[in-house]
Amino acid sequence: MIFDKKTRAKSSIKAIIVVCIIYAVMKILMLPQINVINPFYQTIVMKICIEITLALGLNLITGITGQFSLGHAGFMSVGAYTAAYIMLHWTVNLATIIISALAGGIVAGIIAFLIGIPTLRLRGDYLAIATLGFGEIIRILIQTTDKSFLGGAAGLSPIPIYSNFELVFIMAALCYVCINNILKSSYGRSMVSVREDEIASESMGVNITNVKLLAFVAGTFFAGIAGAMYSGYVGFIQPKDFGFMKSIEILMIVVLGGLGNIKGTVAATIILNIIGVILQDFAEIRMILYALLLIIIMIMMCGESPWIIKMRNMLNIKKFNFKGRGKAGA
Amino acid sequence: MNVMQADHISIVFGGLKAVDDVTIYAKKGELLGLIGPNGAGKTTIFNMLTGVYAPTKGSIAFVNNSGAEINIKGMQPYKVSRIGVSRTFQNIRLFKNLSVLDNMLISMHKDVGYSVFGAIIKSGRYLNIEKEFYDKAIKILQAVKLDGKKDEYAKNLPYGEQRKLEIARAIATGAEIVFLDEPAAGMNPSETEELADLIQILKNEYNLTIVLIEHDMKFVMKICQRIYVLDFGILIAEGVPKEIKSNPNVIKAYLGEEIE
Ligand SMILES: Nc1ncnc2c1ncn2[C@@H]1O[C@H](COP(=O)(O)OP(=O)(O)OP(=O)(O)O)[C@@H](O)[C@H]1O
Ligand SMILES: [Mg+2]
Repeated sequence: MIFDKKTRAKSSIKAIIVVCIIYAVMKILMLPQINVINPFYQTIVMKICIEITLALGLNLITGITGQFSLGHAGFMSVGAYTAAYIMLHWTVNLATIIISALAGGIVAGIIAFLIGIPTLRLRGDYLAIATLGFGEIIRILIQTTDKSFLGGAAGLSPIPIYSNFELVFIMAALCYVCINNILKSSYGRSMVSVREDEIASESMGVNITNVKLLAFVAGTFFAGIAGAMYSGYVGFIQPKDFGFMKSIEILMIVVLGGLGNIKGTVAATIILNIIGVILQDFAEIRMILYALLLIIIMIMMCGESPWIIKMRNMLNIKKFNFKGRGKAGA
Repeated sequence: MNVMQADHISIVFGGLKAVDDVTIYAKKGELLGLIGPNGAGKTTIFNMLTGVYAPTKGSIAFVNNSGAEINIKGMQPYKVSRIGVSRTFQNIRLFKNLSVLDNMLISMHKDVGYSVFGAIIKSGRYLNIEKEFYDKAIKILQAVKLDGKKDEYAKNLPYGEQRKLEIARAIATGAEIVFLDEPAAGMNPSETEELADLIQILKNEYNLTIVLIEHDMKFVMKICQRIYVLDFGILIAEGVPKEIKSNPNVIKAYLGEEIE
């Protein structure tokens, strides 16, 4: 724990150095002379940064606070469309880029707040149902609105391509630092306590509705920002990019990385994207592989996250017992 | 002065009257016992007193340190906790996957004096308040002799220590009245004896009013100043340990069991 200004300074400097080193290494690998990360791989690196931001946001909601959200891609689309709309009407410069990204995050957060207020009061997985519904509603809404406003089903283009490696890297790093520091504060502890035992948490004076709401709004805020960066990265967005499967893909990263484990989230995003590149010609195999991985994780899972247990029970999967193996027959 | 006053409280669960017209009170600094056979409604009374269940009938009020009387009707448990009421659970409800220290710190979250933004930038306020929380938690952990295990996962503590940690966590909320639901359950005789001393030490040190449920009669008779006896949701006796031991109603309710 950090209590004094000196240790705080030390830890901040350490964090800044780590971020700079990662940045420098990436930059060197991207140099045309070295060309380890060629322009094609550069787009993958940017995609990874965007997905890290998305997944960290969902980890805050689902992994750390234990609230099941199935509409993360929906919140991403809110950010993407908000930013794209702004960028199509304003001139592109650093200030408008930042404003549009923040606007994307804020609009997503406000919608999350409105969804969270009625659903997070209730016990049970009402949030999962509401977010699942939201993800579909927002997609259909954009598909059916007038083409001149958000592009309808055909999609919105041409959005100026303003996202670059620096922008998405800084976004992912800031997101990591924010969530890491929240986790190390009383707010983070209260979020974990809600995941662990709502009744005990409430009895110890924690306003659990507020805690869940905070995690949900903060997590979707990051989804909105990631969405904004995404629109400036692809230059063309359409409602079906943000469907249910996209939400599941992000959930997949969070589960594979370990619920509540933010370093794991980063690692899982990188690994899944590498697998994605290797298997890029076999999209179906990739989804099967994901499903298999998910089942294996549930069997082997060492951390006892409540909803892993719930899913395990639902699918009637027994936990693999490492200790019991050698003793068979004894 | 009564710090807790529950008047004629009843609760019905789908036709079953789990608690029927019970009136109990606690004076400041008292150590009260609530006993009765299994299923008598003891835990249910605790649940009503801490806001988990709302009584079907009757009223519950607490008096806080500044002398204000607060009726908890319709209050959520976290609000009841914030007027200085805390508890432990019959089937231990620690945050198992969190450290001993973090379990303590969560009880203080309600007094968090920095914003989320302050947490992100680790503001000076954040540093001060975290330090304050830490010191307070360690002090209470020292009293229950768990400070040496502050970094262990709660789930890895032996059973007796988990019970103690739960008491420490309840005190860390800054409570003035603490409800302990079977604190000695699952402890061996020497642990139970140690717990009896510990409860009295904590009570004096933190100026607590304590109400406890316990099946271990020796324990109850030893430390409680006054005892309520419940049977089938009805209060059948009230008095000092000596009176309770010789009360014919109590003996009848416990027929076949020894009260000594
Ligand atoms: N939420 C509930 N719904 C329905 N019935 C309940 C509920 N809570 C308690 N009861 C019933 O109320 C009665 C009293 O239960 P309670 O847990 O208060 O007993 P107790 O005195 O604490 O017993 P023990 O000594 O076994 O802990 C029991 O018959 C129980 O089944
Ligand atoms: Mg009970």
